Amino acid sequence: MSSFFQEPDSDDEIPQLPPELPPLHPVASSSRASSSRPSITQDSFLSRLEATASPRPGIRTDHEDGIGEEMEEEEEEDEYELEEGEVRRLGKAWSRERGTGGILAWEGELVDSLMDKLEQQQKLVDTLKSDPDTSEEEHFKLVLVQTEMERVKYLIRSYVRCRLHKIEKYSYHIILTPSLHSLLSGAELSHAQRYTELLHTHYSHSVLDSLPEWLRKMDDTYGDGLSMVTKPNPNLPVLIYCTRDCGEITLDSGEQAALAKGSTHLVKYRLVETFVLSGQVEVL
Amino acid sequence: MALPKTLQPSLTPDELTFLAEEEEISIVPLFSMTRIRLLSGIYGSFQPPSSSKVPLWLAISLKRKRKCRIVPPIWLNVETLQTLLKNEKERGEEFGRLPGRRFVEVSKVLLDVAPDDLAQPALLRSLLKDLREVRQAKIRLGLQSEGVMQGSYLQVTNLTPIELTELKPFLVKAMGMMQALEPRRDEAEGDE
Amino acid sequence: MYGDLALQLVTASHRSTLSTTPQLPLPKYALPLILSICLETRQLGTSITSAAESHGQVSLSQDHALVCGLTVQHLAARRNKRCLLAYLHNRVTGIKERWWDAGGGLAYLNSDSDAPDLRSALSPQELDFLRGYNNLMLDYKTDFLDVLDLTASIERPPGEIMVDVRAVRDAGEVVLEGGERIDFRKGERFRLARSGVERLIVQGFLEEV
Repeated sequence: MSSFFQEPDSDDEIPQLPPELPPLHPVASSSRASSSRPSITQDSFLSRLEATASPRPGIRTDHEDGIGEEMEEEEEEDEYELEEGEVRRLGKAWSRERGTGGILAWEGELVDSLMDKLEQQQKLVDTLKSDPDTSEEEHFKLVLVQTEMERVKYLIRSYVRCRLHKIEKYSYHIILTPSLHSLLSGAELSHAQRYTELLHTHYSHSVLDSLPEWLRKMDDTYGDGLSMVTKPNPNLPVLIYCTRDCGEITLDSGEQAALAKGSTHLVKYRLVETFVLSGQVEVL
Repeated sequence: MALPKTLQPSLTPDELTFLAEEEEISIVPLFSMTRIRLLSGIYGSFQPPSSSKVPLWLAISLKRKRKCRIVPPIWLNVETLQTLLKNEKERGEEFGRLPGRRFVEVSKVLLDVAPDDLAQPALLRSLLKDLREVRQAKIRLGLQSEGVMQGSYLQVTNLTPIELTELKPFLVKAMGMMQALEPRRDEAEGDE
Repeated sequence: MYGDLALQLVTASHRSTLSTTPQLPLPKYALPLILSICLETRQLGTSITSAAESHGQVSLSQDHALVCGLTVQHLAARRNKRCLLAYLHNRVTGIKERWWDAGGGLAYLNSDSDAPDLRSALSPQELDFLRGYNNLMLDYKTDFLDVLDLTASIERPPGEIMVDVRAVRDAGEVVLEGGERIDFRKGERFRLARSGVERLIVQGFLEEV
C-alpha cells in the first residue's frame, strides 16, 4: 500500500525486457495459470478463429480471459446485451453517433442515469476525502473510483458534443422537419431552434438585408440542386459490424449482400439505417 | 467546433483504445483490498495470489502503480502470433480472423504498460508489426483491384475497427466522388 | 464581370481553411469586398426589375435576347448571394472552432498572447454572433454543470487522474477543486488532479509533461 504513495513518479517508464528472457521469469508462471484450465491446442484455437459464419456453440474454455472471449461471446449475444453495463452501452452509442452523418435518437435514459450516478459518487468522494477517519485502503479506492469517473465524464462529454456538432450543422433542417424532433432532448431541440435564429440573424444583418428583397430567403435551392438547408447525406457510407444476422440487402447495383452475423461492411447509410436504429448492427 | 476537426473523420486510435480499455482482463493483485464498486461493475476482492477479472483500464492503472501483474490474454504469446502470421500469409487476399476485435489496441496497451508481464515482449512486438504489415499490404492490394471503387459497397469482414478507421476517410471520399459521377437522382443532397 | 468579386471572396476564404494545422489566425473580415458584392447584387436586382417593368409580358416571352440577359443577371445575383453566405458560413465555423478551442468563454477575444487580436478580425455582426453563441452554450452547459464541464477538452481520452504539468506562462494564484491554492509561475512543475487543471491546460497556461 505504502509503495503507491512513495513512488508515484516512477510509474511511467518500465524498462523493456530483452527478448532473450529466461524461461522461468515470473511472467511465465502467470501465463501458466491457464494450465488449470482445459488446455487449448493450437489447432482448436485456429479452428475457432476460422469459424466465421456460424461458430460452434459452447466453446468457452477460457473464463479467465475476458479479452479474447469475443469470438465465443457471439453465441450468447442476446443474453449478453441484456446485462451489458451502461458504460459499455454509452460507448456503443458514442461510436454509432460518431460513425454516422445524421441525427440519431438521444440516449436520454442512459445519460441521465450515468449523470445521477456520477453525482452520487462525487458526493461520496468529497465526503470520504475530507473525513479524517478514511482509511488508506479507502483512499486508494477513491483514486480508482475517480479514474473511472473521469472516463465516464469524458465519454458523456464527447457523446454530447458530437451530437451538438450535428445539431448545429443541420439545425435549420431539424427545425423544418418535425419528425426529427423526437430524436432530440429538450435542451437539444431548444438549442437547434435558438442556434438557427442566431445564425439567420447573423446572415441577415451581415449581408442579406443589403440584398434585393427576393434574395433574402434562407431556404433557396440553387440550380445545381444544392439547398441552403443543409441535410445529412443518407448516401454516405458507414462501417457496420453485424452483431446478429440481418438477412440480405439489395445494393444499388441490384446485387444482394448478406449481412451475416459477425460480418463487417462499408455500405451506404440509407441501405442499413433500420439496422443501425434498431441496434442490430454496431457502427464503427 | 463542438467536435474538434481532428475527430470528425472517424474515431481516432486513441479513442478506439479507450473503448478497448472497457474489455475485461485478468490480473494477479500484489496487494489485498476488499471489493470495489465502480460504475461498470463490482470488482474484487483482491487477494494475492488469486486472480481477478477487471476492466483493462483498471488493470493498467493498477499496473502503473505496481499493484498487480497482468495475466496476458491467451493469444498474446509468441506461438499464437507466429501461427496467426503464418496463417495470414497463407490466406492470400483474404484476411485472417484476429482473436478479438480490439486485438490491436489491447496488445499495444499491454506491450506499452506491462511488457514485464509478457514473455518475449520484443519478439511479440515485432510479430505484431509483421502481422500488421502483411494485412496492410493486402488492404493496399485490395484497393487497387478493379471493381473495389466501382460500387458503393465493400465487404470488409475480419478487418478490425482500428484498421478500418484508418481506411475510412479515404474510402468515404472515394465513394463520394463515385457518387458525384453517378447520374443525378431527384433527391437533393445538402452535405458538401 | 458579374461575380468576379464574389469569386475572389470565396477563393480567399477557401484558401484560408486549407491549412488547418497549425491553425492560422482568422483573416480580417473582408468588409470592402462584401460591400462591393452587395452593391453589385443590388444593381443587378434594380436592372432586372426595371427591365421587367419597361417591357410587357409579350416582349418577355418573345424577345430572346432580353430573356437571356435577364437570366444571366438573375443567376449572377443568386450566385453572389451564395458566395456571400459561403464566406459567412466558413467564418462562423472558424469562430466557433476558436471558441471551443479556448475551452468556451470569451476571454480569448482579448487574449494578450502572440496571436493577433481576434476581436479586430471580426465584423460587429460576427461579434454579436459570438456573444450569442456564448450565451447559448452557457445555457446548454448548465444542465451538465453539476457533474461535468462540457467545454473541457475531448481531443484525447483521459488517462490517469493525476497529471504532471508545467506552467507555460504565469497564471497567478488559482484556487483548485477542494480549495487548494496554487501560485502558477512560468516554468514550475506540478503534479495535480487532471480535472482541476484541465481548463488551465486548454487555455494554454499549463502544459502536460
